[in-house]
Amino acid sequence: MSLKDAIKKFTDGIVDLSNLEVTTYTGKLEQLVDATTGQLKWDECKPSNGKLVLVAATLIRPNLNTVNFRAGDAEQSDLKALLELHTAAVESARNGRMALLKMFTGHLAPRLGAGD
Amino acid sequence: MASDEVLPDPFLALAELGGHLRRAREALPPLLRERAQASDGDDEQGPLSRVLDVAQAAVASLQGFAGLRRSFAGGATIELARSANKVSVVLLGSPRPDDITAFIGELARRDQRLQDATALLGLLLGLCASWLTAGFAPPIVLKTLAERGPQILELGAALYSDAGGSD
Repeated sequence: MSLKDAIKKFTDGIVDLSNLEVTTYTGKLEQLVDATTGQLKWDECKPSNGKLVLVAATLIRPNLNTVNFRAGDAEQSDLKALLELHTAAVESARNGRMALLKMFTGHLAPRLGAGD
Repeated sequence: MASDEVLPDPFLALAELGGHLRRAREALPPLLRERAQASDGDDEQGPLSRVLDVAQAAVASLQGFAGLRRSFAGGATIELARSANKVSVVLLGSPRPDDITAFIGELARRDQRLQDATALLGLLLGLCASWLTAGFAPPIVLKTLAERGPQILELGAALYSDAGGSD
């Protein structure tokens, strides 16, 4: 990914301060490994391809109200660890948004308050 | 500043940071040569170059925060990807609980670095805005860069102090 793409991905999250969505999926390696090369086919790691199973999802609204979904029948021996990972991803998503907000607030506030 | 100046949107402001820093670097040498001659060879270029190096590295560091992917014994893989207002995590195979704990720890460290990077980038956005307003006049670039240099170096040191093992 180019630097420009990376910046755009980050800033899109700031421009669109709507809901923040965090999803955690599991999948079986054999379904996503290229039989010829042995490499993971990351492009196929999409929820829509039917090969991934949703473990948990969280929606954080702009007013910080949060909606959580947890799959009851996740086929994992250690659901606790998976949910800890999901919780960490939610925290990371929140932290990322706050860091970006702080960065742009510092940049824009003095200019908006300049008043000339 | 002109009152009708259009505020840059976040994407443009960040995307243009690298170009502004390059322009600032190009604006300085003639003035620095003049000052060096006047002050009997006192070299300011080295320290200012270091400040600009740190600033440009901070812009480039954003690339490292778009996601995190790790593979573990047995081929199990965890990937976290950020895109606009979505964060998704995909676990392939069966990572052990210890693997997941390690990934969570690395994610927390990565988040801390993101905080450090955005603190530095926020400072740079303000600095570049003042340079733009001043038309990159070398005396203004030099003065503001010298004033903010220690803070930039300090934030850069924080950003790279725990960068080991990333990616």
